[in-house]
Amino acid sequence: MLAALGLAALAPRAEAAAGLTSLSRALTGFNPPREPPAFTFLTAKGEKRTLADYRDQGVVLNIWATWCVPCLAEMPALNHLSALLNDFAISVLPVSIDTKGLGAVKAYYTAHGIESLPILLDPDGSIADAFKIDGIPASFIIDRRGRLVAQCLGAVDWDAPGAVATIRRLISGRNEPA
Amino acid sequence: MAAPCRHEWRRVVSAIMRLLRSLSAWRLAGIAGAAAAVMLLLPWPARAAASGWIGDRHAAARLITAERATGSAGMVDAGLEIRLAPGWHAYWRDPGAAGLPPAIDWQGSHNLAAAKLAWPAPRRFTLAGLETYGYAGGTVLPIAVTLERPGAPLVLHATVAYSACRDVCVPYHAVLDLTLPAGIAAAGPEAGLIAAARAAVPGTLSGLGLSLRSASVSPDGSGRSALALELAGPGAMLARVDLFVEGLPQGAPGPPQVATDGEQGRIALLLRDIDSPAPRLAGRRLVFTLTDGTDRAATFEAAPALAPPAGLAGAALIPLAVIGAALLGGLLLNVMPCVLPVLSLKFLYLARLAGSERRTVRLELLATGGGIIAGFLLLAAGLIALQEFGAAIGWGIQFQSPWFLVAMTMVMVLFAADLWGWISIAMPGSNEAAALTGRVHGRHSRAVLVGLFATLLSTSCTAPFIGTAVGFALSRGPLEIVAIFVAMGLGLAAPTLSVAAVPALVRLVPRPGRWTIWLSRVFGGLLLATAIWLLAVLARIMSVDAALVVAGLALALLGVLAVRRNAGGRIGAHPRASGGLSLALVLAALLVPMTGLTFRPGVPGVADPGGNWHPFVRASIAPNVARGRTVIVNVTAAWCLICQVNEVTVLDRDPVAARIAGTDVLAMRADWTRADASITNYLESFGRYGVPLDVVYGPGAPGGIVLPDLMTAPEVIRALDRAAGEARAAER
Repeated sequence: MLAALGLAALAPRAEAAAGLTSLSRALTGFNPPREPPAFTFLTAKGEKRTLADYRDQGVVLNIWATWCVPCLAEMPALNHLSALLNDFAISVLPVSIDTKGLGAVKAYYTAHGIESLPILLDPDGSIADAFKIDGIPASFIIDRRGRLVAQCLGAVDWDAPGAVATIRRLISGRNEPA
Repeated sequence: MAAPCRHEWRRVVSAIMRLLRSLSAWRLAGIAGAAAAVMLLLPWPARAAASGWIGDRHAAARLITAERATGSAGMVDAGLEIRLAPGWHAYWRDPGAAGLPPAIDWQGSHNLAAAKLAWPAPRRFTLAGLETYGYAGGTVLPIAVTLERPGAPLVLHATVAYSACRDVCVPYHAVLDLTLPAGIAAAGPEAGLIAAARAAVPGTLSGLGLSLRSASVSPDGSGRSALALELAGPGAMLARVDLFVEGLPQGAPGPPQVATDGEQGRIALLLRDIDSPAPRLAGRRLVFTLTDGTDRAATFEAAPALAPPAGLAGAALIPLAVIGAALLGGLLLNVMPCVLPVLSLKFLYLARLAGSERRTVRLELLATGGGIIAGFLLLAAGLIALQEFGAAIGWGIQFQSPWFLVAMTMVMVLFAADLWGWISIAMPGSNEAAALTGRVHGRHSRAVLVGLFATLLSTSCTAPFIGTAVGFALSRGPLEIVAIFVAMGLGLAAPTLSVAAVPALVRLVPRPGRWTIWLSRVFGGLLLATAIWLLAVLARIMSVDAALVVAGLALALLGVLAVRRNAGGRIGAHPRASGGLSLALVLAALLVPMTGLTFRPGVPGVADPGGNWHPFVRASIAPNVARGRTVIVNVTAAWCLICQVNEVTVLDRDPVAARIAGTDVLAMRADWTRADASITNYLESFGRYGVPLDVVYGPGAPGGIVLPDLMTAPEVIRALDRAAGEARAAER
């Protein structure tokens, strides 16, 4: 219900940045919210993380890799989104499934000025397995109770006007002012 | 094929378990599992000229051979065939911006001595400005297989990793098996596929009837470079030319600009916006692949020569205009607030000289001029050294060093004490003061020091023209840096030197009297204010605590000097004691940068500049412009006085503040107070090596409009309007 209301409130945007799909078009909401599968990933320091480490926060989980052009296409927008969501206790978590791990991701972040996103790794790609996805990029929106409220496949125009409001609405329900 | 070893068994079982758990499991595992399952069910791989297809409905791979048996030649023509659904593509050996080119691990093969992969000419794909190179529809990569034992059967076991993409990407991992028996090497059904693929592999330039005339790389004025090739030959008639470059340190260039001259039989190709400075590419071995949209293609190597940027005279020559800019910029620095406190000293000393011998006056002035030029030489030497070590260089970067800030603070305090008559710097008979100022002796050393410090302080400002001159110098080599810095020094020293040339001018200065004493006090105060400003910068670079400690030490130094002075001649019996104490205080201050009182770096990118301003994220510029927003980037530093002036008088005040508060404008502030590689890169992309830099982007100006160093509100508003382009014009 909550997701459906959130999505219904969105007018489809006329145009998205070249090559990126608008968030409203790409989103699939879950009503009722679902339990996400169990998965783990690593921080740049090699510490293990699960969704439980982000309880009470909203999460935008993005699965990507440095060899994936659509992923790279949305990365700058995701980087910007992260800075925009910083004030609302919503974390953007891009988990890279690069088998080369930290080195590849760090080099990409440095070369492309990705400064607002953490480095998160899943070199054996088990996270993609857990979510049963067909390809990357794939993104999942998780509410403050750790439930899956929406997902989208493919590159998305994350920092379009209204995206922050959409994500906040999805994560916190319609009671939170947009 | 041999039975899978224990390790493989475990993998097979786990893969099957995973498959059973979820039929739509991630393809990476799924394919490995499926391949393993096929291996289980069919213990004898196909003895044929092709393996089975392994993959899914988007992409699949198989091994093929041109012959049905190994024959006696010791060579087998094989191929990796990749099948792709409409809209999907796989990658060339250089994938461009991103992509996994097919990689084959032959572990587990038998009778295989070598396998050499060839790559048919690629085509170009563009997504959101990212250029990638690869194959659509499908491809065959020819493989020249050399046998260990000619005439014996060949067992190929290939583990192939590659990626295929459409609007999403999938990593594939296929295990392919093909066994070729011994026997007569008659052509198999796939022979034609491999032959066609071989024909699509680029040949030589002469094969296209062309030869390479020249290859050059030139700076494009924004820190990037352009590669130019000139080809010639009677065959210079190519259809849709594309050019791919391998060996670039970074970036994947877009398509080339092509100019053909049919009569002369020449083709000129120009690749713009290459993300590396020209000197880095000069002499570098690059591999070019030229395609013409049909099956004609050539691969050739070239090491481009460094060429002058378009519009500038010669590579080795510094354009007169740049020298002129350096002279003029140096001259204008004289009236910039950063230099005024120090240069005002000079005029005060000059006033004291009024009435002295002409020769003394002239020497004093020449000494100051010399100090200024020495200061610029010092800066040039420092920058050249940093450049040699590969460090980022820039105008005023010494302000990013706490040591410099502390040293200059103490120097300002000493000069203030000198003006107040508490000490006498570098005058005969004042050994302790000479000790404090680095044991510089000689009659005119104070004048030299004034010139030197004026120079070091001057770089916290840029004057008009300075940006041009410095940008040119720092993008070139040591020779250009020295020449241009000396020119700037001459500019800054010009007023001093011209008075030296006509010492009669000094007579225009009123005779010293009570007013010089008052002016000395005021200027001393100005120097202390400069010291306080340096401490404020130190507080930003290190921490408030560090700045307070240095401030304490500076006050103690002033105290010691004041006590010494009030003791009059009596304590003069112990000049060594007070001199030693002062020296100790200065040294203690210089130790502060080594202490733990350093700034704890916050989470990068999260530091909030406040107001209408967002933290600078370079990668956000293009996507926001693509959506029709206007973006203004303000690169600033706490030690950059002009930046502060711009902020206070223009950027953070209406009408500009009101305009950039709108939702159609994204305002980003980049703080270069401390060294920051991403900001340095951004500056370099405009050929700038210093702040301020303010750039406005928008649909009407996707490449950005650079605002003047010292800006006015109408200029900013006009730039915002221009950048907003037609969209905004239509609203009106």
